[in-house]
Amino acid sequence: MPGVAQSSDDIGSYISENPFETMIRLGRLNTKNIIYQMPGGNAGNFFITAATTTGDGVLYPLNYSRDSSPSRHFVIVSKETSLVNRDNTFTLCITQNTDPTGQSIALYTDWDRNGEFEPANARTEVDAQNKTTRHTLSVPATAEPGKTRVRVRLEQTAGTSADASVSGGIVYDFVIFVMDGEPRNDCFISVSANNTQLGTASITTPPNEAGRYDKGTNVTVKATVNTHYEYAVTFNGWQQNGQIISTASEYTFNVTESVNLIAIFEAETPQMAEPETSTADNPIWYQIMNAHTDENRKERYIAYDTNTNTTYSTSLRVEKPADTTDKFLWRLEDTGNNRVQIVNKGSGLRIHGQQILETAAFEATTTGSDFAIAPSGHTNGSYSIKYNGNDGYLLNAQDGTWKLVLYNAGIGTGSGWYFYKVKLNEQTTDYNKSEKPVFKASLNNGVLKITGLDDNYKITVVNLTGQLLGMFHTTDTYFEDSIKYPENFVILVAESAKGRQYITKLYDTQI
Amino acid sequence: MNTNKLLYLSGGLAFSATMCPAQDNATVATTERPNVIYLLCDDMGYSDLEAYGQQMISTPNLNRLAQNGMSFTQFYASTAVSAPSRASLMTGQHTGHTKIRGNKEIQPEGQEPLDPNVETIGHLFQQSGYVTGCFGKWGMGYPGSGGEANDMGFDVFYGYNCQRKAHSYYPEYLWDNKTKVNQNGAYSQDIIHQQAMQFIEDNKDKAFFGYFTYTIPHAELCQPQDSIVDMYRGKFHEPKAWYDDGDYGTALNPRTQFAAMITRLDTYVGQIIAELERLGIAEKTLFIFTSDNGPHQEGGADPNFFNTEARLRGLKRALYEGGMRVPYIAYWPGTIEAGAVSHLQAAGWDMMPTFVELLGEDATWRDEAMDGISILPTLTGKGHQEEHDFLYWEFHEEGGRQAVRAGDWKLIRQNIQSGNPTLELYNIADDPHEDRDLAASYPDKVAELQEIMDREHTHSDMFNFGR
Repeated sequence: MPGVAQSSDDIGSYISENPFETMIRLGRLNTKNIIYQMPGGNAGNFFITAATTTGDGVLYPLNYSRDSSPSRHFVIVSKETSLVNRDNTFTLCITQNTDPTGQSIALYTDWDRNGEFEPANARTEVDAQNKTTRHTLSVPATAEPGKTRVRVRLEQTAGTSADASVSGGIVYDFVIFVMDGEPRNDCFISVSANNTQLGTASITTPPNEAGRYDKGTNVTVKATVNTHYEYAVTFNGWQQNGQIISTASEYTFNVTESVNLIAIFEAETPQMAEPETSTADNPIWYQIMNAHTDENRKERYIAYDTNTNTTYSTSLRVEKPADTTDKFLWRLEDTGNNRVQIVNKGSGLRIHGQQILETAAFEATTTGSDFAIAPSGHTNGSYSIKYNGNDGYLLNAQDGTWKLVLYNAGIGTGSGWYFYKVKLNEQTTDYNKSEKPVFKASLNNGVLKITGLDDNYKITVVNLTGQLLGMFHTTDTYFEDSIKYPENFVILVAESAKGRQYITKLYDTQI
Repeated sequence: MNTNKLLYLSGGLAFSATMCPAQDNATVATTERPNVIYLLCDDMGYSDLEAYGQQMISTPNLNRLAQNGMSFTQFYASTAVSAPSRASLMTGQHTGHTKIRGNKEIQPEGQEPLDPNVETIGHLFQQSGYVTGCFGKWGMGYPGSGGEANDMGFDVFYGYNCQRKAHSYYPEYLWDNKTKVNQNGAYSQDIIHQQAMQFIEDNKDKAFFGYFTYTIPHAELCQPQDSIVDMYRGKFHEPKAWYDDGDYGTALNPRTQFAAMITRLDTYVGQIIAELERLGIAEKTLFIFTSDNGPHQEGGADPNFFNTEARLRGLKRALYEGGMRVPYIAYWPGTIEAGAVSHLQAAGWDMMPTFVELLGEDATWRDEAMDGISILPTLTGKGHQEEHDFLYWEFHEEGGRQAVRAGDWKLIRQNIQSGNPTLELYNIADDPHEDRDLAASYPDKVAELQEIMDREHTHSDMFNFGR
């Protein structure tokens, strides 16, 4: 069969760190593929939140995750896929949004690629606490190499066949690839981050020549929090098959089977909160969002930015979308008599204006005006910002101009504001600037060059599934070396002797 | 001295455009340079092919093409609808420079013509002694406008002059050069394909350029109900039939019909490659397969169903990736590395410079500047591959849109005609689905890309965002 891998060592021919390249390499693997029957029906309330493959038969693991329900009753999963060896076994681990106990879960396979699904005869274990089921499947020695599917039917009452209409359930077709490899005594270990913006997962133990790990050896994996992310990030632990197996950021384990570990990071995103006063020395920062619900007016935040344009012609305005740069952050300073001034983080200026309805735009000045902040009375939980405590003069966002003005109506949504408490990353004072490394790195034909190094750094280079491609120590302002290089897209983690840390992504410019 | 240019001038004097007889001009045809076939299909999205992630439609011949040719992951149509995309391809100018920047119909048949003074890809090949043929949809000059295919560098034309007429797969007539030919109920794509195959056969001993602009899989979703359709009957849940709206015909099972149309196009591709091999000219023919813009949602088509995982955001008319990033497979056995995958950022207006280099010409081959770069070094693996500083697109419907991609960054400006446009900034390398608008976080990058937009849009009385 032209184009079909004949040995498991060919995995690198199909799996690339560029997902679009992987798409093409796998998509054209077989010239002739099956057109499968799509079941009819309608969706229920449950869906798969995560699916992975592990076990000795896995040459490349599935790593599927979703946090919301698909819009249809039938889902084909192919962007995330798995390569498995024939004449071997693997476990498909499925986590749902609900406890699967009492539910019908049926798996079907088509190992001979004839387009007819057969019952998978999987050995199934149910972990109700973690909403997870594990299905161990055997790939027969006679399986036809190439693209096939594992169909998973989740429904209240079992359907009569793989193709039967589903009622109040959901059907997933996981596209997988059967390879014709020899049995191996080494395993495929991969790691990934649940959110690559929040941190990086890497394997710090070098693999063998095949990019795998011999059974019985120890492997260490490392989770690195992105300390330059706009919010504080915590590492919750390593997840395998839906369970946290270690909370150590550096975790060493003995290799017994192919596994995919997911580093679970969590960011402390802004939370709606009751507004509190604070001081400059111990500030509590808020994003202040207008409670309008109109499509054009909603989700606008008070911002102070001296860069003006045709949309925002004044420095003080209500802008969208928000981030945690200084211009969107405000604290409330107590001025006595249940009044506050609203102080901007970056400039230190305070919202200031006159007691004139609608026509006088507020500014940010060194003096500031006094406001009383109190629940608006609306069921949406918003607050009114009352000019000097006056119920008839409420801070509002002027439609179209996006200036801050006073209104005497619209209490609730119109003149209501939400306060989002922002817990900033301690190490980040200016997100836009500090997330960028002080040095410049480039990758060309496998040669890594770094200029402008301001310290001695430990440089770790990994691919997206965490395999270590190189680890170096720099001692000068310039560094150059080659990395073990099967990839064209890599993650570089630089840790300085002074404790600073940067994570950056590099494309090989030769490719 | 440019010998090829003299040949062109000589040919131009000897054979007026209205006569269209250059296919018989054996004196300038040569077998030493590669033939080129550029198959530009209509409204095919990035993930409509198996090789580009499709899981419900069979495309074995295009799979084979991807196995034996070079597949691009970041090739862009020139914009997000037909006429300007094709005009940009033809003129080697992006949509901020070329004349035709939008679909502009002229009643009763046809579209606004190309600038009659501009030299097209067709002219380029003609100058180099090639026989040139266009088979399919033209859409860049209504009958009698002076901008018909035969006037713009194509010795032979067979197909639809008008994009609107091409909405019917069973037209009353097609154009054979400048003569109407009654179709008597024939399926247009079969007839156009037959003509294209005949063109290959007729010119097997010459150098030829075939611009094959098959209309599949554009709406309407109609075709012969044959064995190709039978492959899909009953395979898909069909929740919604489409009924004739006066423009697009009835499709009772639109998903089935759409899938079969793509397999039909795949079959045509297989027949073209087989014919090149049968004639012994495969190794001296560069065959390129691509699309004019992203997937449509017309006549009952359901792109969200087939692109079930939405690898790219947006459909036809969007300047998000899904509206413009298209499949692009180049096949040239013995010259292009089999199975290669390229991440080079390239676009439709790069084809003219590519063909200029292929033909041994240089940028002075015509007076007008070209916007693109040659991607020939990538295709052949020889020479230095230049890269774009930026790519630029504009679109003149739905409020007006512009987009710039520079490296990993892409800025989209929308609702331009409102006078209060929105700006969205994406890092395509990190976020190819364009979910995270970073405009507020990177104002300097926004300003930098806005400057490119403002500079690259030259004034057009016809397409000027309502200004």
